[in-house]
Amino acid sequence: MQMTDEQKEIVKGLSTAVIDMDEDAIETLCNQVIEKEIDPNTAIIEGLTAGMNQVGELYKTGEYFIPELVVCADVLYQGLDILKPHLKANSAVENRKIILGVVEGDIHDVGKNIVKAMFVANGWEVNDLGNDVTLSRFVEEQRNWKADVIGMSALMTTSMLAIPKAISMIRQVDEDVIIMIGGAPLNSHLAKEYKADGYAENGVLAVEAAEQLVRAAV
Amino acid sequence: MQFKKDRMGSVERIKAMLNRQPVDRVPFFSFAQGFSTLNVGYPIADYYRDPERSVYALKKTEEQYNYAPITLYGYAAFCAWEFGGELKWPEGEFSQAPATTRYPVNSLEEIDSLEIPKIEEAGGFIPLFTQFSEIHEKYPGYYLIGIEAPFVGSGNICGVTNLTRWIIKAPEAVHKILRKVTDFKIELVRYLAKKFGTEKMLPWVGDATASNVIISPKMFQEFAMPYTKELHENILDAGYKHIVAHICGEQTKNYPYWAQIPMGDPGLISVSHEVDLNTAIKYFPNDIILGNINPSVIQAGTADEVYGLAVECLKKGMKAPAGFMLAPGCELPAKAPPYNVWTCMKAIDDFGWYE
Repeated sequence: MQMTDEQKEIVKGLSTAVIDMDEDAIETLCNQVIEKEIDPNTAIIEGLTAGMNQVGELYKTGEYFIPELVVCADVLYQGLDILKPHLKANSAVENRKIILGVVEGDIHDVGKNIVKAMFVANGWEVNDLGNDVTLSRFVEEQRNWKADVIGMSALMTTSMLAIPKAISMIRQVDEDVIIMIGGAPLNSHLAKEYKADGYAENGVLAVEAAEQLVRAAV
Repeated sequence: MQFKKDRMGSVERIKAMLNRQPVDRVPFFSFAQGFSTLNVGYPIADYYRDPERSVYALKKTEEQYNYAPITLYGYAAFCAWEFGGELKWPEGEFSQAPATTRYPVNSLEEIDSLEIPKIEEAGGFIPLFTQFSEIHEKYPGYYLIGIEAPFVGSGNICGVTNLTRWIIKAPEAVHKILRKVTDFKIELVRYLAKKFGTEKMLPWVGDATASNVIISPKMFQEFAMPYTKELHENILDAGYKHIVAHICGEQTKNYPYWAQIPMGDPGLISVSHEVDLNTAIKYFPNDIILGNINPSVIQAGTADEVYGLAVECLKKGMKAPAGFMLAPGCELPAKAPPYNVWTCMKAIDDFGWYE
């Protein structure tokens, strides 16, 4: 169904509210989405997701840094909390699944949390295992949850050594799952050496890389 | 193979550099922590929790590799435990450093009641710093105590996610935490100066949280720089002559601000591998430059790759007017292949001699 100009303004407002980190506006606008009977799926994709992707661009160009990303993600989640209960049962917002975690021995999760926000914004179902995640937990979660992608990060030279071991363990239960890695001591060269499928320098690039890898695997 | 014969003793060399005198060759600042304890057969955790083993491991490893007699004792998560949080030792297979398991502050409401620990009664690492210093004072050479910058300390009080969130949403709350952390650190340096003197100990001030991967240069200017500057001024007032600043991570855009912070005469600037050594030399022409081999390559690269990076660093670093120490850009990986570490000394032997 075609949106009215008023409805379009509301959806555009959602995007702006995410970019502007405006918690008050997001609440008002999400309630308007429901009152004006705008499709929540459209509001999420064209409003919240579009906004968060623009935030990602601002990070890439050096206009936004982690503080802005953290607050934009807060606003995104605030909007999703209001809109998601109104999604129709068959609306396929979440059709791809990713498991995320910082590997055992490492608690640095700021980057992982940004990665999570970017995947959530782009409609992925995210199973966030947190930080200091044992390698067997990644395996167990993949066995039960069957993600399309597993994303692992490490910020220290000692914890990065957990990654090749985790990859080898995961491959024993699922040869096909796409495994991506990230974190300060890692790079694309090490990703190849560790037999990961992909590497992303930051959370913003991670979504683009994951979507490319998923498309290529189909 | 045998290296060329040193024309200066290792302590003599560092002393000369600190006095702005010429030296025979470039020294290697190892930035070794867990690497040292593993090297002598102790677990990584002993570097942090057992000062006696720590000093033993550091000095023996220094002797083995003939690297600079400047041993480092400290950890990046400093302040969490001391202000009432909880910590776990790096005992797991992949752990490298103590990690915070509970922050002292988890909400804005908790900030006002956060108490500054009294140094003489404080727990956490304060008694360990004291013990390490007591032991190390008996050895020749210098040692660094990890005071760390107030900004990274504040992240350790409330977690980096909250710190960054509050920079936007509650900047005055961030300043309150910074104030308390700065006051605590100033008291700590005064205490250490009084107890151990200022001849052999150099305060180490690192800041990983201020990286431009996390905050903007403008945020650095507002939240990090003023407090680090105040800390450094107080360190120098306490009688220390040199400060070692570890500008951790990609901070190229912060360098103009770091350059406004007093570092001592000379200061020592530990440069991360993400930053060009020429940038550091440009902003700190009067200070000794340390750096900046990529630690990840020391651990995962070949000896040839490490050698190549070391030679590249030497070629740039030896142009630093106030002197240069070859060093990893951050902590020497605890599980680095020993041959790769030795390769750094080989590079110095081949390219690190002054005429």
